[in-house]
Amino acid sequence: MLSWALRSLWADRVASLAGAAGVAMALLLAIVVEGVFHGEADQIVAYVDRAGADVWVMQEGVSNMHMASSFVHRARIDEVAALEGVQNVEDILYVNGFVEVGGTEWFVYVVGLRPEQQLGGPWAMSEGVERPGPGEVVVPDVIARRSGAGLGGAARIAETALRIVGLSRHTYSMANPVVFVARDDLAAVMSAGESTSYLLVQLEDGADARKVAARIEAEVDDVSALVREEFVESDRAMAMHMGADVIALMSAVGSTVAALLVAFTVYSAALRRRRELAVAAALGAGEPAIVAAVLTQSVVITALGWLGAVVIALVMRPLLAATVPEVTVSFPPATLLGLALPASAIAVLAGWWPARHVARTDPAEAFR
Amino acid sequence: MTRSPLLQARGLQKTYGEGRTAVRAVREVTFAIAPGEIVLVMGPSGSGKSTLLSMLGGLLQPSAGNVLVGGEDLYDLPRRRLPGVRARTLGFVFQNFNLLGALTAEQNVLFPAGLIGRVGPPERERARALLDGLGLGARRRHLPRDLSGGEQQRVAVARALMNSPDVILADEPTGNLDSARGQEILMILHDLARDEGKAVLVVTHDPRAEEVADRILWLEDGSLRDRLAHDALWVRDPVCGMRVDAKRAVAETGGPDGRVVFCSRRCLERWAADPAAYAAEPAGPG
Repeated sequence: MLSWALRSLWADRVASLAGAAGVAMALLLAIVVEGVFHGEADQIVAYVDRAGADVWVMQEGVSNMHMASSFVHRARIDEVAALEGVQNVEDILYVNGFVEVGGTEWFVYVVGLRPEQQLGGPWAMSEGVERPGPGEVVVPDVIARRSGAGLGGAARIAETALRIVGLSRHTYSMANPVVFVARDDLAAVMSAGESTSYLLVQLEDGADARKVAARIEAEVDDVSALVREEFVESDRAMAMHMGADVIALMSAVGSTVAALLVAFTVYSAALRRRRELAVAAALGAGEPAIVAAVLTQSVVITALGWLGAVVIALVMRPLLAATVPEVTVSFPPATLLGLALPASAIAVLAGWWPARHVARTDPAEAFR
Repeated sequence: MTRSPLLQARGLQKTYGEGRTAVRAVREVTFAIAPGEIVLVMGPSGSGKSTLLSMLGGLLQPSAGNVLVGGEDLYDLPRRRLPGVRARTLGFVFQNFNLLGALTAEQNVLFPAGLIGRVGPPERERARALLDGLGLGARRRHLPRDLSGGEQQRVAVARALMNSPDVILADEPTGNLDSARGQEILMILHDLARDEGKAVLVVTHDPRAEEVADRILWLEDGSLRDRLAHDALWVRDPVCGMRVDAKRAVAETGGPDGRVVFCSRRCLERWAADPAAYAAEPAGPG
């Protein structure tokens, strides 16, 4: 029976491929929704992950950067630098705000950098310089492209007019693009005085990050310290929490639609074969054999569809990045592999019902 | 010594629908077929012949009554056992062949053997022997779509015989065949009864089949009835030579010597192409 089931699929190649294509489109929908979710989840913490700090120090009680404020006295820089295991400490000023580029306002993280600063700046550039001077700004290349601006173009933060001197790469996400300005410019906007926002700590070789973070919290007043991994996860959790409802809804709708499409495709494929299944039943095939044949066909169609969806997704990814740069899409292998299991389960359920129905219906009724 | 029947129908009934819209397709049908017997079920279209055959083959649950195959009541069996009984003891030849399109002729013949878990060299040998015996040795690797109607019907016959069932049920086995092929299939069924002791039941409209039958059951409005002798007017189809009931002929034409009837439209077309080639037997007024 299984051999017949496979031969039957092969003999009806066009219909089988159409079924697999239907499954592929459904799974692609789920993959893209998940891909956007994963891409944004990674991109939203790209700055804290790539800023170069082993340990982040912030105002006591603060544990995020996303939608947070932190004020740390600049005197703490030297206090942290003096601790065992610390090689280097630099600070950034930071505020959430809007930047206007080419007449469009963008909600962004604004990071103030010193000219000589090693940590906290953009880690990859499309064009221009990495460190903005007074009256200058480095913006994500996606914002520049979408706003029709380029190097030398105008930007504005609050009432401060700025000139674009650099276009950074990988610093754009839908939730928190990062722009960089001179620290003094931002300090003036924020009236920061002797305060700074975050201290970025680099450790000596071999130093234990958790021990150093604990030491900072124990020996420096009014600060919290988190190793980079903890800070990244804390920020990701906050960002996800704040966007959880929308993301959960998107994910639920995408997954439900995909599941229904997979189920409908597999169900239709099984129904198309109803008559020949009835012939097999008339010749003496029992319910287990018929169900096994249909499930084999369902799983094969779904596996082909899954493979097609994965290939299309991997081909699509660079195309998406080129054509829709404001959306970061990521397809982790675990997600792609993990999708195969629920898809197979849906296929089995969707195939099982018509198979069981055929097996339990008098063959003569199925011929009518 | 009386031989025990291989196939028995007892008070068999089938009703479709309920209440005022109910249609009684088969009413209280009772008969038995002994080993070596070939029995025809004939009757007008819509008389319930195919419904009766489906119930006899375990393909359609009767509304009432019993079907006994080798003394075992098909519809008294646990439902999960019925497919196995179908595979082992009943060979069904469908009117429209119902071959599995993805399988070659040989694989189609072997299919029932697979259903009872026996596909080894002896079964392959038997499948080839069956196909050889039906003149299909050279066509065994062909898919159904590459076979003619006659070849497909012979594959269906071979498939029905694969597991050596005691009972052969055939639904209009000559319905899609030309005269020569139809006659060939009838002779195969005849030989199965005579030489191998099978109980063969054939549902047919084809009057040629009467020549090979031991008995004819006339089904009308779902009930078995006596067919009155004067009900038929037998003449020869001038093209194929088969006997045709002029009162029930499906194809006819007017000739210079009167009305001429045919067993099928195919024969009528051949006649129309060259009437002079055939000697017509007038069938009298229509």
